[in-house]
Amino acid sequence: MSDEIMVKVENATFSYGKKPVWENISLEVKRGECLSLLGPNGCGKTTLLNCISGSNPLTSGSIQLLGKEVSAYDVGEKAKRLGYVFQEHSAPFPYTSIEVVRMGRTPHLGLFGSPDEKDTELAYKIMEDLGIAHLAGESYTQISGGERQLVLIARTLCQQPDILLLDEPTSHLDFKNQALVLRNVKKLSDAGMTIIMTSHFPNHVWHVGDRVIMMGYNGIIADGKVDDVMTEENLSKTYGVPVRIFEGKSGDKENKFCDPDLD
Amino acid sequence: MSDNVELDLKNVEKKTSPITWVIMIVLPFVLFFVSLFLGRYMINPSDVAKILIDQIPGVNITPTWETTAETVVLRVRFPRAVMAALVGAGLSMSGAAFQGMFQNPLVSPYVLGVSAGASCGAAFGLLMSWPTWMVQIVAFAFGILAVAITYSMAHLYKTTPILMLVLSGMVVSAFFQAMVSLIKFAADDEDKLPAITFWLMGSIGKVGLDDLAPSAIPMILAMVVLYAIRWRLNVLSMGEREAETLGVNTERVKLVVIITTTLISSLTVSLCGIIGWVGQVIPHFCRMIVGPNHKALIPATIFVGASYIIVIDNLCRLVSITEIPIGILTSVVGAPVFAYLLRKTKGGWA
Repeated sequence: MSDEIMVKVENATFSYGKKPVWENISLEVKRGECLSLLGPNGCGKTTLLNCISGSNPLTSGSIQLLGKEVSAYDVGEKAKRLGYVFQEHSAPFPYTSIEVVRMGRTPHLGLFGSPDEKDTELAYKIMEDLGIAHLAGESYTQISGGERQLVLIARTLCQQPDILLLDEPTSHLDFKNQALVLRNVKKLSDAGMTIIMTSHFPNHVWHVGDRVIMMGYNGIIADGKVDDVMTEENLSKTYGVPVRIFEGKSGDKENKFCDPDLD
Repeated sequence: MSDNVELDLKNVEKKTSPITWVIMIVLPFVLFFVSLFLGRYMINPSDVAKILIDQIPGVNITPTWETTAETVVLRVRFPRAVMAALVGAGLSMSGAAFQGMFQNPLVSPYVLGVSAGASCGAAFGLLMSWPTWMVQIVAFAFGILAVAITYSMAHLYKTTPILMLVLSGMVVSAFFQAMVSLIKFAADDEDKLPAITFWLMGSIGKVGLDDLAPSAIPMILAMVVLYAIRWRLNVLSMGEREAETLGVNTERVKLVVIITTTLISSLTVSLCGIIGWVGQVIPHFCRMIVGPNHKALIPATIFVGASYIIVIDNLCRLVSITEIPIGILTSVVGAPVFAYLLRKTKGGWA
């Protein structure tokens, strides 16, 4: 991790119509950091990612990517800096997976261009790194949800961005696919990628990420290192329900996990 | 790594065998040649070849054919076959581009109202008994006008969402169709009403040698542009929001696609009337052969579309003593074929 500031959000407010989704949010993300955003449904986690990516213009305040205002970026230039994997995604055409991954090269191509052999090799290399090379020739519409998520991550990496935004990368996925995705996010983070991801699973934060921000309906509740911030008090406040943290041991492995208290 | 990559990269895209491509590419040229000698005035194929070669500057062949044959080949059948090929290729390509852009297999090149607009212009021109060239120009202008209205209606804040485009297209089409009905209602039913009705049913036979250059050149230019951006259509077909995060200026690409397809389809409708179903059936059929990747799909639609309309137009000329309007035949053939393709692909894309 270096001290270079990749994303800087200052006094940002965003509102749909009159009612602000959140107000006066400020945060900074340094190069190589892996930041998880936790918060209840509708608190504006995804909205914040959309603002950082520039697709939602702020009502007031500023967001800078690598020292430049996000709204000042040209679409192609921004796509070289920032990659964004959406949560919802529809795929009507049965392109092969590698074709989908190669689409990540778009910002590096001219208007009339199409990927060449080098781009294909890069796409394949990235798929290999993510452990999905065997899917290259498979129809994208016929692979599992977790595999599709990894293909989309691979496509985003193909953009060779400096910052990676992931919107709930593990939603709708079973355990195996969750593990597949998380393991790769961790690998990317270890390799120095700057990552901001939202999640509905506080437990995942202990597996992946060095920093966490908890959001409530009135903005940021807690922001800091995972071990400092992930407390019963903060989690309970964030979700508005008592949350207990358990420490467990299975064989030689120790782990923390939390659960809402139903009593 | 390299060995491994090469091995796997062979599976990267749905590969179409070279033979299929050769057939696809050669077929329209063969059919083109055939349509020059077929007809009620049969001409010996070798004479047709000689007539064509004779046209090459510097070549001089002693005529073994009648002058009528030369007139029929060069002034009647040649422009007609060229136009048929262009119309087929243009509409099929536009259909494929629109289906990708709208992420919908049912979309036709007429979805933004170009055919309704052009029909209205033509009907008005015929009602006023204007000369053919004026009718064509007015039809063309109205086709462009209709799409311009659709586009500006769909324009919200700085964007034109796909759904708004489709809905606006429906509104604009409905309006211009109502105008066509009004004009038909007002038209004298001895003379003008049949003229309007027949015009709308479509015919490629109206195209003469002199019409060819002014209509073919803009059509070919539009097709070249559409061909050049074909890979971007893949990215656009992932949805506008995703395309944008991938660095595509979606508004610009959409505008380029709309302008080129409108140019093609408005020219087609103004010269040949409404030729339906081509823009739906041919892209679907081509996806079955070459897969969904627009990099292969767009070239395939050019050749298959050209072949298809050449064949259909020949049927129009040859099946009965009076020529059958081409719009009828493309629908009679197109609808069942489309139904078959839908069944076969189970409503999917390939």
